[in-house]
Amino acid sequence: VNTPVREEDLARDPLAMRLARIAEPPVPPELLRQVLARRRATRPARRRRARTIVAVAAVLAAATALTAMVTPMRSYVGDLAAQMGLGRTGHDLAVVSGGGQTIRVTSGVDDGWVVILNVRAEPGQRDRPGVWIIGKLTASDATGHQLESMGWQGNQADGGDEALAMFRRPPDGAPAGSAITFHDQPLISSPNRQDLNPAPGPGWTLRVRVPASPPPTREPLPAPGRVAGVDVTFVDVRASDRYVVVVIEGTGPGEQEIGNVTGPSALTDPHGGHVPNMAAIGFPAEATPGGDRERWEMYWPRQGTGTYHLVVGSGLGQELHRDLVIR
Amino acid sequence: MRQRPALDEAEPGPAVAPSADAFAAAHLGRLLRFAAMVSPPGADPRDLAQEAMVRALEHLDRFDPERGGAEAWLWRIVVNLARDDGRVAGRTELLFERLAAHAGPLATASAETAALDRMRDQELVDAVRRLPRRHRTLIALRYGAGLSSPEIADLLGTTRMAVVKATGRALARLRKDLEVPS
Repeated sequence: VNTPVREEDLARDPLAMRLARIAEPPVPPELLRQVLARRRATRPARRRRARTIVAVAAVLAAATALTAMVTPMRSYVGDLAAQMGLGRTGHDLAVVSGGGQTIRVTSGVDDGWVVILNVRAEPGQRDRPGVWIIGKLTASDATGHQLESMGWQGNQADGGDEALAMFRRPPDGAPAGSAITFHDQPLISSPNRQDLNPAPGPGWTLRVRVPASPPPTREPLPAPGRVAGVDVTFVDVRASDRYVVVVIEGTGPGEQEIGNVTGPSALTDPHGGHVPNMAAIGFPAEATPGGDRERWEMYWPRQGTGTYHLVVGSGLGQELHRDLVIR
Repeated sequence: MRQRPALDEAEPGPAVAPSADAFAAAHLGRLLRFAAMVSPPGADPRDLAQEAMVRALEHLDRFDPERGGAEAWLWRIVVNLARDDGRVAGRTELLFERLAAHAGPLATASAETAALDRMRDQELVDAVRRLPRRHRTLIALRYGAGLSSPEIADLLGTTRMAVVKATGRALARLRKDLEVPS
């Protein structure tokens, strides 16, 4: 393959010439309105090597980029919560107000495997540009142990901000269903806009008790496979009444290659419907004799029992297909 | 201290900071095209475009026209933001691939041209998004943002020649993925 190494070679390359003719997509009026209203996007940037939570909304994963551009912004947190049976009931689990700001925990899950808190802030970031009202979220249990933060995802909706915050209780901590002290420290952009720092003030502290629910039960593990040079092993598959969680490990030549494989995964429910992804939590890669190994923990709202279909995508057009039997 | 002019006072030209409306209208389409190419599968390109443009608009009053064009300033914000959330590769990663590039005339194959002409923009954008990060970064900056090699080199902190070579490799990889006859 002749690879262009001079500017004039690039200019003569048919593929380059075709790429240069790709039209600018139409700007959705809603996006222009949001931009001119200084409305920020849904999530703060995060460093790749940090433990991250990645919302891979199924509709976005399935749709093409330009189609997504013209899709009106939805409250995917609200949709996910509703699919897990966590829609707003009018009875908050906890609420705190002051200075015109209200923070609520409207619903949640506490099942011994994970703690999910459905958080809402009113007013939201739109009314305070540069400030993340829902910012650094921490939680501790009744014995003073910190819950392990698994990240959060959020969006703006109905005049406020909403987020699904995920935590894990420590093994030696208080049991599921016991009180949780939840803290939200708003964040403010640094002067160079490259970092988010704690906003002045004590933040917001709420005491929450989420009724304990049965933990997710183990389900059969799919067979391991290999895709795009990455060995994929299914470490755990569990399901509760609320969600399905799949834990996979990818072993390959590097973190990027593994991320290309394990990150873009999609789930189809027993009726063939696409299941929106709730969270994909990537843990830092470890060096092993067989290459780097990285663990991913992915959550979807449960859509009944039956055989689901999981696609682990390489991002390079190669995919690993496996059935998940959820009983 | 430089003040941003009121919207109805804003004038085009290098010595005056642009108005927010005009700035957004002028650049948002190209920003979306860049974001569509540089965002990996599963990521919403609108997030990046929206966040970058809002940051740019929030700082429009800090923009110093004497230090460069507003457009260059915008793309610096965009690249910093995209790098921060892991969508674009850093300099080290871009230069990681040290395969020798083969110089030589490139065949302008009519079959390839014809095949590419039949291809929809969307198919090309999708193929770019599936590229490894270092490749799609360069393709997106050049053909999404419409930047020249010197501009990309300035943004990424490398040389123009390195950008040209790396862009050539990115095109070769994209061509292989597309399986376009050449």
